[in-house]
Amino acid sequence: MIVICPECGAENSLTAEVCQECGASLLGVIPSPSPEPLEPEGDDLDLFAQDDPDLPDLLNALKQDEEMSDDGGEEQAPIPESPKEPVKNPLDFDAGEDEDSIPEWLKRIRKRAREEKDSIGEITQKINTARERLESEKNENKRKQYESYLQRLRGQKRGIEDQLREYRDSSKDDSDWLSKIKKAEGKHSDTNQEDQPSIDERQGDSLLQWLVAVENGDEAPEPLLEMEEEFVERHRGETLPTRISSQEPDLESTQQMSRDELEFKPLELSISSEEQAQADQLAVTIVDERASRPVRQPDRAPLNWLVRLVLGVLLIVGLSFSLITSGSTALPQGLLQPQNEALLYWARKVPSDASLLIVFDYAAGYASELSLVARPVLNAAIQDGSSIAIVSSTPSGSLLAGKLFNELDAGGALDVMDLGYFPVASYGAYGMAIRGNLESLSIDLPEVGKPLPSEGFDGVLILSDSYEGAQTWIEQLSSLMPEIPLNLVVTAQAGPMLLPYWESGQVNGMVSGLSEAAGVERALSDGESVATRWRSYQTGLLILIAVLVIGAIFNTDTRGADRRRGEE
Amino acid sequence: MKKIVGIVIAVSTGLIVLAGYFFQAQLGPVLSMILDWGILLAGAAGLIGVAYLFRMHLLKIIQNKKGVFYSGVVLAAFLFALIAGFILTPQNSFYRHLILNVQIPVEASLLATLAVMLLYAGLRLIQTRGWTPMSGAFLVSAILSLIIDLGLIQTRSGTLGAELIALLDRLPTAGARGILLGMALGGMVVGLRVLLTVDRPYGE
Repeated sequence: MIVICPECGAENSLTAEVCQECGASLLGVIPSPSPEPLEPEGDDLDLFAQDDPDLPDLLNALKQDEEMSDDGGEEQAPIPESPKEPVKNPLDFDAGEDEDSIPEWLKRIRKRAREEKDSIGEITQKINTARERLESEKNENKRKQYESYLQRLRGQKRGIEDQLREYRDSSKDDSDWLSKIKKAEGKHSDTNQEDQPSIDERQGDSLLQWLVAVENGDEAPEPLLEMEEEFVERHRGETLPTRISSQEPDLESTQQMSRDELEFKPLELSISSEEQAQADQLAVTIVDERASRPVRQPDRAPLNWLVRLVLGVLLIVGLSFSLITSGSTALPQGLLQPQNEALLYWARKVPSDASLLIVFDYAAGYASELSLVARPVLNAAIQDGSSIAIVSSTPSGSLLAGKLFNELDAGGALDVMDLGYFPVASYGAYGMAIRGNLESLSIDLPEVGKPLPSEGFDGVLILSDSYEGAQTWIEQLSSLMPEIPLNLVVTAQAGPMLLPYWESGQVNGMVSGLSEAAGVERALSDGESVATRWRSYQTGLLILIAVLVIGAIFNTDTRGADRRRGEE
Repeated sequence: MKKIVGIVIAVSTGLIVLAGYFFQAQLGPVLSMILDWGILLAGAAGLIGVAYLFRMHLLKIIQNKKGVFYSGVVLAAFLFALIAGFILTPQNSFYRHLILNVQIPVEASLLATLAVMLLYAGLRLIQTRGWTPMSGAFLVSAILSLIIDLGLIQTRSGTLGAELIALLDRLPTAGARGILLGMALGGMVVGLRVLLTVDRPYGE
């Protein structure tokens, strides 16, 4: 605290009773805060040369900006060094790296990485992307921090200006000491401003003098804003210095706050929750695949070989006995289905000189079943004068056709034309349909030279053991030859899947499996070939049911399941 | 260039065959040619497969590897069937009986074994998984289908039992229809993707 003389404006110590300059009495004069000590040694007007703990941030910022301007941006603070050494990408090229020390494989990889961006693995690409994103985020954060910092500076500057304004207003009425100070310092309003030294020219002035200059408008606030903008522009995109030289104590104290706020985040990959879930699932799957599983030990002793033998003999004897004691009377009612009736209606209405196309699309293993199913239908449809054309989409189709026709009533007198074997069923179906529509067209079917009926077929009968094979023929023939009735004779396994084609009208009629064949045979009164096997068929089904039920009840190893769950 | 040629051939062939369903008379000769090419390529692929199998078993015999006996049986049967077919032709009844009387029992035995394996697999499902809703539904549906297929349950038409059996009979049809619709839509999408070169199964 000092006491300023109201007469001459000289500064006196707090204990002085009279002015040391003019000798005026200082009694009753209110002490004032002591101004900054002057720096007579300085060549330039350096208002912030000394470390002043009370110096506001605004002034420190100005000091920092001034120093940077003086340096011309050439001597900037060193680039911060990351506390951790960044992970070096092996694909990156190091200028100081010895060319000879690089292995050949790494050269090739680097060359490929330069030429093809896709050659870099997905993980490397993600890491590079994450690095670029991190760099951009760092720059963005730094810019925001500087802007925030300048906002605070502006706020503090306004606060200082307000304080100055209040101070000036309060002292205007009761004291004219400030005008006296100005007068003593040669800065009175009446004085020509051109004659006044600028703030840079005034050596040894205190902070108070600078504030006076601000108050007089000599140091307008506008240049300050321009300095701030220059400050922002100069530091946009730069890395914040972390090492401050010892000759810049003010700068260090000023930047410490910003550096703390601009703490660099560690390098991390951006992974979405979905990717994380997939990675977790993959990890769990891998762990589960590699996990050692307990060897299950049955709790009960295995059946004696004698018991197994007895059960096997009973099965074989039961089936054999059922074959011997079979008969048509054993056939139940209600076996004939609507699709079977439609097929029978067509077979009965086929003219005696009809030309039929029969497709053999089943393997030899199903020959017994399909012979039983197809025989009643073929006996009803084929007459002595019928013209039969066969085409096969299985290698043994021709042989199976000969075997089947030999079992028919009119087997020996049939006129059968073999159109050959198509290695691909769709080719055969498509070719047959086109050839049937275009008589003049010469398609080189496997059996070349055998003409199709000039008036077309009166019906097509597809014998198939699988859904896929029959489906191919149905789709091609029903679309290209929709006027020709299609009929299906298929195995029990293919029947349920093909039933929708009959319900949609694409197929005229169908019969599948032994049970429906039994109904067809009885409806046609065509012998007892199916009925003789019906009892064994029922016996086999009953054995299957019994094994399933008994096995499900007595073979359920609930303790084993509980033990496994517990082990997991 | 190589890719472009493949794409052009595949797409043009597909579009011509597709157009052949609507313009059969105009595109008949082209369709005939495409079909002949397809049959020829499929036959050639079959021959290549047979030749590969023959070579593999022959090398096995020459190098005296494990299973040389079975390879010898395979080659002997193949050569016998091939030579007899050339001499007797497939229309010969002796040749037909010779082939089918071996082929039919062997394949039928494999199918019978498959039936037993399926039965055992069903039991293992119950044994390993225990009584879960899925395993229970599997077992009940299998047993119900077998019982209905027995033909022992006779009902009068119009009764509740007849309706119940009709309902159970229609369950597989309902499932099959759903599967067929899905397959048809899937096939159509695959065809369109190939025609639009989104999928190129013929190259790359």
